[in-house]
Amino acid sequence: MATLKVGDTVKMKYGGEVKVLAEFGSGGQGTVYKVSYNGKEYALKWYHKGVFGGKEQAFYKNLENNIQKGAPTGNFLWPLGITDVYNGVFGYIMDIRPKGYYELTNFFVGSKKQSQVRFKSFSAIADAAINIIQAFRELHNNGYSYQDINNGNFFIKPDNGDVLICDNDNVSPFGENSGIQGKQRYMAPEIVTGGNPDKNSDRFSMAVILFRLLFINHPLEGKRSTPPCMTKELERRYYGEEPVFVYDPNDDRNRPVPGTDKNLKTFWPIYPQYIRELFERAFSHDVMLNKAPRVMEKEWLDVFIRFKASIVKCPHCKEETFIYEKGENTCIECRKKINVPNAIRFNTVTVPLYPGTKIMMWLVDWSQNDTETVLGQVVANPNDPTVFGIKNMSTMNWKINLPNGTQKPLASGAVVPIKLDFTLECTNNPKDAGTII
Amino acid sequence: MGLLDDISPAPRKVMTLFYLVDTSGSMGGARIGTVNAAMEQCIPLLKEVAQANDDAEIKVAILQFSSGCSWVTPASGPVGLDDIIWNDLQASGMTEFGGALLELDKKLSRNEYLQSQTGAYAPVILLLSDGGPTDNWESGLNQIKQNNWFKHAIKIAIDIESGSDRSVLAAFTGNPEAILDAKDTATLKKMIHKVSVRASEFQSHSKQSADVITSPEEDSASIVAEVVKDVDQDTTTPISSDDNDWGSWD
Repeated sequence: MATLKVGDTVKMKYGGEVKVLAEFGSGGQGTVYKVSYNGKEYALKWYHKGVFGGKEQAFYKNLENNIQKGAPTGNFLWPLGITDVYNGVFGYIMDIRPKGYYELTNFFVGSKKQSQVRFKSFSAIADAAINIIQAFRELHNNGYSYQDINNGNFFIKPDNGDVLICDNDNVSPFGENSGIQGKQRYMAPEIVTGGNPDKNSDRFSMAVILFRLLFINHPLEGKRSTPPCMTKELERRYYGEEPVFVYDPNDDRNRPVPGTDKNLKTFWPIYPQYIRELFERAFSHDVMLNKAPRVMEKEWLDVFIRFKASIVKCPHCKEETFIYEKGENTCIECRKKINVPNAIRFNTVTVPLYPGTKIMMWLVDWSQNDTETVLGQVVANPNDPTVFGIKNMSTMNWKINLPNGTQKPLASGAVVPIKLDFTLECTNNPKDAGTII
Repeated sequence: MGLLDDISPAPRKVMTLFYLVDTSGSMGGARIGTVNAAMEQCIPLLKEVAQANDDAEIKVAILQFSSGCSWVTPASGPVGLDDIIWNDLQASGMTEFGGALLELDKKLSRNEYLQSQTGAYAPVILLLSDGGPTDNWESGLNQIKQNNWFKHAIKIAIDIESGSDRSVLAAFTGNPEAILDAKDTATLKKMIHKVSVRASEFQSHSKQSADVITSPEEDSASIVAEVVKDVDQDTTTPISSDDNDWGSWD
């Protein structure tokens, strides 16, 4: 049974059998079929014969372990069950990818027939980034590494940034490698030059994915790394031995190629400095070449959640824009000024306060491991839109400490006016309080 | 219109797929008919592959040779897959392979067909032939072998109905294992499809091992091995249905 046909049945290792309903598509490693199992429809990935070059047993065992351990988060289209082995050939079942998701590749390329997919909003981009980071954070926390992060593994909804991660069959526990090295342009430099993938190489590949979510172009492809003819020797140099970030602040040899840099020119300057700085670090010489630690998932979450909390509607043009800081801001779309009189300072981050900006649980206390909850949001007073307040969006009462030493409760749904030196306790822990500046 | 509506596609390196098609007299009848049909159907297939390829932008240039040679695609240079209209080729005349190689050599240049602002990958050159050359092919081959683009190119030959001079094809590909043996026209058609798709996807796969750098001749041979496997698998199993609901026809 090298390949299957409609109507074929395949026995599952732990009982029952799947029946082939249709073929979804075929790739280098195997073919994916639509199958039914226990009255429900699944996708069956059925490997081509010989793809594992003698490592079939180890691969099968690893898949089985992964199935037993279960998906780290709901973002993974994780293997759910494994088939018996038929003359050296086997497969696994997973959920079918629902409609409305597009492969990340389609966000990068377009043609006359199939237009490029574009995110509907910056909030959707922020959410996609947060979903991806959080998924790999959990995966790594569970002791796994993914080992083959590339543009073909991610399926994203352009309207809300929902993410599904596919091809989880190379996911391996610490210290093990299924034989995969990864895909050129996504592999970490140490893998390009011959190492084995692990969570640290995942972190490099994830940084490439995050950069391309925001800027479409590739972070390492500029003047220097665009020779007339890219050979394997040159690929090894530009992605492995001597990679240079297009916006490396200390090395301008690989700046973007004029004429192909429209996305970079448009988007690099508008994203907040804290995002640009983290990319500069992730793609700095020392971090890429493992002379300094890779950027951790938590650090990415810090900046992307901060960014998400800063997205508002411009009062002038009504398009989405970002509030970078207290003081004068410029709308990214209409370039008009937006004045932000106050901010609230928490332990690790200061959140500018302007109608639409949010106080997220992560920014107040990241140790809760909550990337989603919005505790409060800035609103304008309906009677006087120049007066701003913070609405308690949480289910708890807040404690508001006034400069005169008194304390007032703020019920869920109520609004506190933004006044200098007010201190807000938005969680149960007074140490998490934020002060308005 | 916000900034997000203004996003452009990512720049991609160009990978040019050259077809060298023998249209000498011996190709007449079923052979050239099969090549015509295969190429015509191959273009939509390649479009699909190209669409899913973020690594390379696929362009195509087609050179036919018999008594003399001429570009089937516009003489101005390789074209994108959306811009190809296949016109059936006619077969007649000699097999002036050496002349075709000299013409190709001229075009394998940054100042000619391989100009690209976004850079390029080494091209893929597919030779489709059914007979031995009738001209001084060695001098053509010796000249093109000096060309760096040719040196780095994936070079694969399809021997149509085993009519070619294998030693010529091996000299061209630089590796006897980079030759596909199309025993009959049905196999020929499949091979044209499979080799075109495999070669266009070549830059875009996850690698099993990165430590050794393989030569273009070794890569050509491994593509040929994959194609042979694909074709074998295709002939042993019936084609599965697609995702449409076909109702119950039992």
